[in-house]
Amino acid sequence: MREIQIEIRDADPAYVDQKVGAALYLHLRAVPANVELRRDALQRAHRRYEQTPLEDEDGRGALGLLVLQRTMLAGEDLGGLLYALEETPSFSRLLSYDLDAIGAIFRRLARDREALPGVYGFITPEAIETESSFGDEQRAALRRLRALTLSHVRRQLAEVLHFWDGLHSVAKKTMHGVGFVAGHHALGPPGAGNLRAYAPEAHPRPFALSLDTVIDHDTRHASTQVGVVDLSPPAVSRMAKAGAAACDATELLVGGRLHGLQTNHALTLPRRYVEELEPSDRESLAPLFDS
Amino acid sequence: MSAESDLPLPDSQSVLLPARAYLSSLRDQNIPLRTLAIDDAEEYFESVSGTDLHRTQLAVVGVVGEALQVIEDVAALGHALVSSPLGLPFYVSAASYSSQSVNNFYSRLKKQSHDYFRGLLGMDFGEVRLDDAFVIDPPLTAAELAAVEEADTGTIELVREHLLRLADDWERYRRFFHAFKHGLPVVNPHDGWMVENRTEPIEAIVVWRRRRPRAEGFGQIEPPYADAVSYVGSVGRLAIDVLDYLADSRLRFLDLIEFADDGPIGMPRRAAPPWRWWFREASVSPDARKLLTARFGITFD
Repeated sequence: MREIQIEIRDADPAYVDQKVGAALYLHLRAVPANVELRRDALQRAHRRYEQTPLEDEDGRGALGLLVLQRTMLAGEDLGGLLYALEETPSFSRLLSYDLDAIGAIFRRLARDREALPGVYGFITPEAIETESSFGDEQRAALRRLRALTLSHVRRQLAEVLHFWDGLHSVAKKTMHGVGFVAGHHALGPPGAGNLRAYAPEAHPRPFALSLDTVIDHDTRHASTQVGVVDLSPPAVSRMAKAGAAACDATELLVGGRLHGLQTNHALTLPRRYVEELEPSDRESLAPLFDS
Repeated sequence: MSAESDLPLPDSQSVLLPARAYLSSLRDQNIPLRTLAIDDAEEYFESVSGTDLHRTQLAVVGVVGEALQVIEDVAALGHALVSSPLGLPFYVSAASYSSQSVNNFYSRLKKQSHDYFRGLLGMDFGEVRLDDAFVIDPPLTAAELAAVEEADTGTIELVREHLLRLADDWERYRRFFHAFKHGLPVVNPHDGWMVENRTEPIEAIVVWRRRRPRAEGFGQIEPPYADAVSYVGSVGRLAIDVLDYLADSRLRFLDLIEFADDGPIGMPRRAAPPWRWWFREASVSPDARKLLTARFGITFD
């Protein structure tokens, strides 16, 4: 009989167990390599898209769809983690989310400004004021670093949310049966019959028509939604940017949570953007981050 | 030279032309997408293999993820071609995803009849055999018809064999595929590993299974990982070949149809059936192959 054996490394097992549980901690430790895999895959697909001649419409279309899919995967990785870490962290939530839940948490974090720092485990303004080991200059620098970090995360999540709301259901189609009609085949000649009406003649190329059929077996009714997927260079660049933002946001989320778990701190603040602070702030914070 | 077909063809605007555009897109854009993705995942594996065990294992899962997408594509198209519900055109049904239909397609393959495969491979059009539906000029002789039958049967045997292999590999790897597309819950081997009989550690790629009441690992891909990648990559390419065959067998028929602006449809007289066969040399007799070559100019790879 086979079973899995695990070991909690670099942290106090009791603390880990109390905060997130062993399995979720293990997953968090695995995430940096996951992000690397997703980011590299996305960059390779985008690079190949850009290297493909403009006149090779099928080649660009194929690679545009690959960028779309890889952006979706990076976004889903982030969404699953946010869903698992929101409120009481739970490994079973990580393995049981659905896409609606992910969309909901992206929207909730965009709307509720108070919720975001909580999910990321960022130090609170109150903690900055009351922590006795901080000096006044450090408190001021920490407030600025916190605001700066939050602005980066909000921008990243806004990009991911924009992609998610507009394209995640289409992106999902790239995983299952590739239900896409290439724009030039839709336009013809001889064209795609009734589907031709959905293909805008003047649309930037390449583009694809996405087909999504919902069948209700009880009522014996089927409906097919036809959408236009823009696979032109600016659109594909926007997708790749959203995917990169998802990777950055995941790294920041997991880096902070792991650091907290490994140092028995419930709240942390990543050093990621410290270089963007004024030199005097960087100097004040140096002892905190060096320790 | 064109002639009205004896075949009761479906409506060109709602069925034939969309189906043609869908399959042409599959051939020209979507199959190349899958091929590119598998090649890319294999190249990535080569670049990270041996640098770090976790990264290496993740790269293997990446190849599984790309390859199994094509196995799923085959099932989605195959299911739509033969079991499209409510009489929907296959391209409409193929755009409706159901994990159940994918699993059912593969799990039922072993019991499917010869006629089922004739329908799947586009050899029949409803109740009509395609070689009866065309105006083949001059008409096929009895010996030629027998040779066509042998070639059809040989093709069915080969595609059936390929599909059964895809079915096995779908079952074997689909949990890794689910991990690839849903959050990458792949255990870092420095932190977790499989043990046999509670004590003996086994090196394997372990993924967390989704939607289980408690954390449950699954590990079945063992080193050497280069062999696993080579095998899974070849399975993905086999799936691409099958998908290409399914699409091509329909497209060769659809490409024959002449579409006019006002809708009338014509099909030219032909000297040969429009489809290609795909069989092992040994499954068709030398006499039959000689006849196919003489009558249709068919060459054998």
